[in-house]
Amino acid sequence: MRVTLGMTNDNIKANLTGATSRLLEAQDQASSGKRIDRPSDDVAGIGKSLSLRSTISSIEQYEENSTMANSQLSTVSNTLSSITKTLQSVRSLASQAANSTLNDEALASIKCQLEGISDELKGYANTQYLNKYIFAGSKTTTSPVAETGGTPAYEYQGNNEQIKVQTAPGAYTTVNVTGDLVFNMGGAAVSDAPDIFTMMDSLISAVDSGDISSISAQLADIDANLNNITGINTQVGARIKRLESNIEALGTSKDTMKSMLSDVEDVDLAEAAINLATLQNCYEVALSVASSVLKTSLADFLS
Amino acid sequence: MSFFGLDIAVSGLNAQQLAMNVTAHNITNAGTEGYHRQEAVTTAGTPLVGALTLANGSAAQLGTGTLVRTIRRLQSEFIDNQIRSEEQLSGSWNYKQNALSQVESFLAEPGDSGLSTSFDEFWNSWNDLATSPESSSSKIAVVEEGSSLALMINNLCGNLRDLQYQADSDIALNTNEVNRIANEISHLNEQIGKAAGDTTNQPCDLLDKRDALLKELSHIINFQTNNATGADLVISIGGKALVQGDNVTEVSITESANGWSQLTWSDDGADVLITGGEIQGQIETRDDLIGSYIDTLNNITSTLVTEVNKLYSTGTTSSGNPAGNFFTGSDASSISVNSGLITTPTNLTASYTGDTGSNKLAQDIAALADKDVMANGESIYESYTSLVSQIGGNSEEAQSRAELHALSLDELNTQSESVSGVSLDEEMSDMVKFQQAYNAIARVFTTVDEMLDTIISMGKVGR
Repeated sequence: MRVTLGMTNDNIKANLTGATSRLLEAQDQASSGKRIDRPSDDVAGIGKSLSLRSTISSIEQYEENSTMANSQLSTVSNTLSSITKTLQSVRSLASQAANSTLNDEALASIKCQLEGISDELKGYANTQYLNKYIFAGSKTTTSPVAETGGTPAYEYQGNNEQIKVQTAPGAYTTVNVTGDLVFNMGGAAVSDAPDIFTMMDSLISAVDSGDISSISAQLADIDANLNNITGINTQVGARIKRLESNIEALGTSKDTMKSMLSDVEDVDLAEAAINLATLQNCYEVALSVASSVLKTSLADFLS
Repeated sequence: MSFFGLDIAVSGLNAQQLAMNVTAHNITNAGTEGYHRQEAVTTAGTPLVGALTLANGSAAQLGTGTLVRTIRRLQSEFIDNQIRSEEQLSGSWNYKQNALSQVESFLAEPGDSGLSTSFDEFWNSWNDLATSPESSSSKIAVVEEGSSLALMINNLCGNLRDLQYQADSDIALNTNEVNRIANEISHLNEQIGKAAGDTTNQPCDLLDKRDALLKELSHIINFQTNNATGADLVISIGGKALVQGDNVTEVSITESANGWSQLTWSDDGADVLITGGEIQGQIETRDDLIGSYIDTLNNITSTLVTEVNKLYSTGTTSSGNPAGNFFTGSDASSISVNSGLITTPTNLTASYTGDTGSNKLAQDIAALADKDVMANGESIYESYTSLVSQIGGNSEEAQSRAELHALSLDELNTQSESVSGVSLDEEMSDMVKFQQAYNAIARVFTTVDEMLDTIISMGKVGR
């Protein structure tokens, strides 16, 4: 084959361009750590990469939702525990009052304590979390329990909507309990017992009038309401527990997804470094070959 | 003794001088693009018969020196034709490769600044709203994410449209180029016609210029020639002559029904049949590639708008009014969040009933993310992912095809160089050869001169 100046020249240029562009790509990969920089870098990988990214993003969202649900349910649970404690002290005061040996002063003191507790319970009914009433169903800006001044004396103003939050693909957790169930408004939870506030009122009036048999009769109502709330709190506690294990599971699957994404998108750093070094060598060899080939011609040897 | 020896020597001196000039021309054009190596072809002169008689009585055939028959260029029509057809493919794929690599940079995928992230953040903001449906900051976030998603779609669509317009105006520019080259070739044809005496006497440098123009033309558009080496060269595109000798039928741009440039023949208005070259790459980029991407993007956007609005419009605001639409617009260039929500984002509702704590609506809209709502049974996100994969696939194909054709062009150019290129070593040794021959002939000249001198001196003897 005839070899000409142009051929040598083109060849050297093509080789040097090839060597530099491969070197550039290797440098890019080694410094960015990414194997896929644009969709055409790996057409099969890009679809995987995008869907993993989206999955990770929604897992992070579920984590956020779960944390949010968890803190809201904790507020509910804490409030329910406080109500339980309060009702327990109502029960012990009521059984003291049912004791016929108490004098009037002692009864007056019990009545006074019971009145304080009644206000406390109304306060619990209107508990807010992040400025919303937690016992009002979805009517979160309306205070759930109101005194009507008529019959029945207390009315539930919320609704019975269960507010749900997505905590996993297709899985929802209810983050509220409605006040009608908690406070047994209109017999919503325990049909043969009055709501907590009416119960308190009639207990106070029984204590006030010293009607021991009425007080004793009401002990059953107190127990019924107490059991109702304890039952609800157990349910809430179970939900919180499920959320905690859910958060843990989400964390694990996020880690798995992230490592899968890294498998798809990231370069093997050791391989990238070796690749870079090899290509650097190639480039230097190409340069030295070019310099020695281009230097000489017959003109150097003619006198 | 006659002066004939001097005549022979003169013919040799002339021939060597001419050959030396050709060598000089070669060396000076060693780096000229499109130059083909030239060569002086010498031949022995027609023998003189009858001036001398041989011993057997027959007339001697006496050589008369050297003649230069022709100066020819070394070129392979076969390789040049291959280069031209490879240039057509390379021109087309190169253009597509560049355009698609721009499309890829618009996408910015995979990454945190691409549309996929905007989609995720949009659906997540509805999810956030579902966890705190009363919170005005969550409402503001939904409106903000909705606006930024709409803006990202608008931008992507706008960028794609710009590329489409770019390709369209590139077609117009290339059409001018085609006409310019066609006209130049027709002028060259005319000059070649005047210069060429016969097929053995070629106007090498004019032919070189014409070949360079043909190569340039083949990068832009597909064509065929009748392989004529003279003035009768015909260049035809899809069977119709663009250049015929010194006649040119120009191509022109007409606006097609959809507003894009279309190549037609200027004489009869018929469509130019385009199958290769940069122009084909531009047409494909404009219509088949970017055109289809925009269609898909419009499809995705209109489904997004319809589905979100279908749910959102059944919602009720906290003041008890129907929620209206969340998005306005119908395609990628017009999508936007309802301006009422942008001015008062707190009017956004998460509820069907209007109760402040109810989140069913937000829940359902967030669930659209994974719902297969597209006409082809994919979810919106899957459709977008398929679009990205499609663009990646097209770009990858264009890259590897462009690279492949660049490689075979390199190979062909090397072959062509091997035939037509100037080798300095070769020219140098030719130079020495011609110099030595010239010196030797000069020696013949002086020898004949001395011999004549001898004869002339012999005349003095008789006096």
